[in-house]
Amino acid sequence: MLDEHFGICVVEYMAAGAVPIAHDSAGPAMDIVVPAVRPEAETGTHGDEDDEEFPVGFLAKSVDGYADALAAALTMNDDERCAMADAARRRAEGMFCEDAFNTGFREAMGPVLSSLATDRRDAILEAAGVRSPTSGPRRRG
Amino acid sequence: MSTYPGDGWSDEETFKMPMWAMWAHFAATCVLFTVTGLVQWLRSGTRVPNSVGFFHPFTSDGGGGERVLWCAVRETQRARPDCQCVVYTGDDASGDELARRAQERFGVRLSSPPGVVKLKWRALVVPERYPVLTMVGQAIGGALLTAEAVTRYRPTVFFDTVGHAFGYPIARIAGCQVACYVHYPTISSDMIARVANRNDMYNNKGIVARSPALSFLKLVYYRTFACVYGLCGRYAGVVMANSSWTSAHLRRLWRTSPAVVYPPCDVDGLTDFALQGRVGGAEGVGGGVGHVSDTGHHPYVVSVGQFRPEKDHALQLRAWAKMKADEAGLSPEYRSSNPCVPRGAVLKIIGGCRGADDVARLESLRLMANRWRWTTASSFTWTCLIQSYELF
Repeated sequence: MLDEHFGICVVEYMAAGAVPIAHDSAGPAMDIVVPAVRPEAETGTHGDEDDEEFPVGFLAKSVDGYADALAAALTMNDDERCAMADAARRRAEGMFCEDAFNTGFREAMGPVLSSLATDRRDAILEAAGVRSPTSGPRRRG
Repeated sequence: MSTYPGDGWSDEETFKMPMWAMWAHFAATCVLFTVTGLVQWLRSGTRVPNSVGFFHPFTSDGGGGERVLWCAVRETQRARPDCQCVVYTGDDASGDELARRAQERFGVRLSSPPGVVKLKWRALVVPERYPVLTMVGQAIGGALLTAEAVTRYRPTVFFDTVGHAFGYPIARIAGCQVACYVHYPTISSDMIARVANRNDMYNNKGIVARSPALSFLKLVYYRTFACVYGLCGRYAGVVMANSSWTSAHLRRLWRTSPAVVYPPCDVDGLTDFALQGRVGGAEGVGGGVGHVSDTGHHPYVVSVGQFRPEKDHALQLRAWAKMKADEAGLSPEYRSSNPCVPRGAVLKIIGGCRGADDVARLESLRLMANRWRWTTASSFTWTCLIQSYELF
């Protein structure tokens, strides 16, 4: 669909081993189906900086684009399809798993969480990276 | 020569306050008293040190938002085992029940059950409550709900997981740090552009798109709303966005630089399916689990999504019909030397209907598909699971 902000479902069917054909906008285009085959793009201009990586799926906008993407997806032979599905699955597993969320969450929330320290000395040492907040509630001793 | 008491200088050359100034003074006093009272009220609870309050009024929505909530709670507990985590919810559930639900439904194990703060004003943020000016209604409702939350429990960090940005100034006045995870901006520049270009779309009714005056008014409304939204959003100290798209919009509206933290997806249970031995490709225009199976002899393409206008099922049908027509137009010579789409390839559309609108939309799609089934060689397979919530 147009302007889907993220598109968890696209990630889920990529993880399930399906070849995605999604709308070329917002979440699927910017984050999920990257790099993609775009039938509507001029030939020769595909893959600006991701040339090295194997495409994980198709992106289209118009009826013509979708029709071409469908035809291309359905005429891939088994090896090509497996290679694309495998690339899609690896991307889904690597980028959108819970571990990736946890790491990102900690990085963003780090300063706020370390400011939670009730003890001033803890706060100073944690801010400097000397003391870890995970070492438990009794840290002084 | 003046006989009225209120029009400035009198004959006796004594200074009398003009009437408007007295009224202004009175109004200013009232405003000051109200503001002071509000601030006092917002700060009436004792501030709990070393605590994080997670704002998620509809805790049991079961969607991706709830997974984000529980993963965030778990990660906070891991990073700070001594921290007190509470969840603001409108549901009648105890901390134990919520922890069990997180475990059963999402496989998220919390080290200790969260505290629960019950919100009574949750009905204020239900969109159906505001048939007109829905955005403003929800915004004010969200701000009031935040006020209720912080007066019931004043945490050190107020963590918003639903994107009610209009409550952030209130949480800040109450003395909390504000952090948030935004799934989508309440208003986006795309929405404004659609009104400005007078496109007829699902968020822009035809009657508005056709009338220049109405379009102008709506544009002013949207622009003002976006401006206030931006001002409120700037009160958040930590901003996380679920995608590059959301992040780009927030950067423009809030003038902050959000961290892109993709929502956790439950991919583990899905990666066991074998890639080999399937036929054909898969499709997911509507947003759903596109899945290819080899149970039949023909490859098929699956589109899963509710029959909502934004999923644009008509586009999917047109694309499929065009693909079939293109295939039928290929010459036999070409066919013999090149790979072709298998003749029996089928498009399967699976979805659910939430209301009468969706049912009507589904019927018109059925008509469209039937018409094309006779005029082209297309084969559509229709599967409709009405109210199939268990799918999502």
